[in-house]
Amino acid sequence: MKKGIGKNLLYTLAAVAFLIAFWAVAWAAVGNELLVPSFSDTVKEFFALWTDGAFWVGFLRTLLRVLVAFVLSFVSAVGLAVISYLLPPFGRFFAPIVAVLRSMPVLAVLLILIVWTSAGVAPVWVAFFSLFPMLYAGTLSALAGVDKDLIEMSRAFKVPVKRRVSGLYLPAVTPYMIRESGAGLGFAVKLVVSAEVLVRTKNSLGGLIQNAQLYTEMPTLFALVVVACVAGFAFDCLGTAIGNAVERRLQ
Amino acid sequence: MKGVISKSYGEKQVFSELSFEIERGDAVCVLGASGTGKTTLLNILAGLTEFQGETLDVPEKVGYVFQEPRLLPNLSALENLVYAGCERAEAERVLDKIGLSEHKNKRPKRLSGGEKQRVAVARAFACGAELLLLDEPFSSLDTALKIRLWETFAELWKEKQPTVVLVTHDIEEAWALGRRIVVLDKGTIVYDTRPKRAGYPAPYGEKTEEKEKLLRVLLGL
Repeated sequence: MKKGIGKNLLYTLAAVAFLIAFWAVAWAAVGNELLVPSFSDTVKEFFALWTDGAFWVGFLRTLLRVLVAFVLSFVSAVGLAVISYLLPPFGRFFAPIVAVLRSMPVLAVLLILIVWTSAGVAPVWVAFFSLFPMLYAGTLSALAGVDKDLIEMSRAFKVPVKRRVSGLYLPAVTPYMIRESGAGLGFAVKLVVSAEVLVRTKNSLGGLIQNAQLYTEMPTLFALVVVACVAGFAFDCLGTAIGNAVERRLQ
Repeated sequence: MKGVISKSYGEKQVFSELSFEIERGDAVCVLGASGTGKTTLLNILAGLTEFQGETLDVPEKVGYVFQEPRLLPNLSALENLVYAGCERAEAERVLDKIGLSEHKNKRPKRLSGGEKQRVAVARAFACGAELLLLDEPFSSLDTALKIRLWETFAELWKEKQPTVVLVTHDIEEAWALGRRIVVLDKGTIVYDTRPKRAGYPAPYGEKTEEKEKLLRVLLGL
């Protein structure tokens, strides 16, 4: 197992090294700091952000939007997926609604949302409309993946519903749901920041990116984008690591 | 326990007004070729399969031993019994009796195939079932282990005396464990006997005229 983790880490480091090398080549080829800043300047700016109060206010507010969007979509998606699983006719009724939400161009809908709400709230709804169908489908698929033989055994022994939930369903779906949540949070960072950039949300990571672009502060712009990428990647990795650890513990 | 049941899957009729009666505390082995409705019958008795039917009078508390152990992977052997509704003390006692006292805190992945199936048998007996349904429970085990498990099964049955319906296609198993043997063919009972044997379970490979007759019935299906 440890050998596998070491190998994966090696591949990840190699991919990061490749991206940095690609950046260096692009910087040398373009030769214009206003288009592609150097990697070293961006790194300096990245660490400089850590001591900047305005950055922290923007970053934490963006994270708060991400968390609010995630909690809203998680609770509603899991709740409705459980109802769909227990009542298949409801699932069939709800399927076209989910399909519409899934195919909705959320950044275009953002333009409607900004009219109805505010620049601080609209990014939350944009993330919600994208995360909800993803988490709904994930929960349904996790429930459908619960071992049918064990469900039948539980029915034969007339195991009470409460014990079935805690002994059979939760252990079966939890690792999957944790991994799905990590991926969802990572995706939400991308969506919220994109929406914040488009609607110029004040005190947000997207707003800071928009300002950096306006004043052509390219190292700051690149550093802020790196922050968004790292935050999304961290959620994704954390979800996978915790999900896998829980799965190992449960088996 | 008695019933008159009919069951069909689309066009295919499995049972047409199959009528049966089983004495309380009896051990009935149902023999028959594949596809004759043996598992369907057990699933109907367990309430797992709907039936188009007339009447069915079955005890409330049912235990089921499936062809595979069907144990929850995240629970120990003992916890699997508790999950199914067994009292913890009784679960421990039956696991000890079945020779699994050293393994009761192990999860299924740390048990061998035979040990897992013994846990499944223990689960059915320890939960106080009035009706025990067994679907070819020993078919995947080697002969030596199978015979040992027959002995354990008979010992537990004598102690608790639940009504047993055991489905098998193995005549040796039916002869060893069935106090009554029923042969099912195309959804109908074609042979019904109470064999006279040398003990319970009957010795492996016992030869009697009645067993020969039973074999001829099976060969003639």
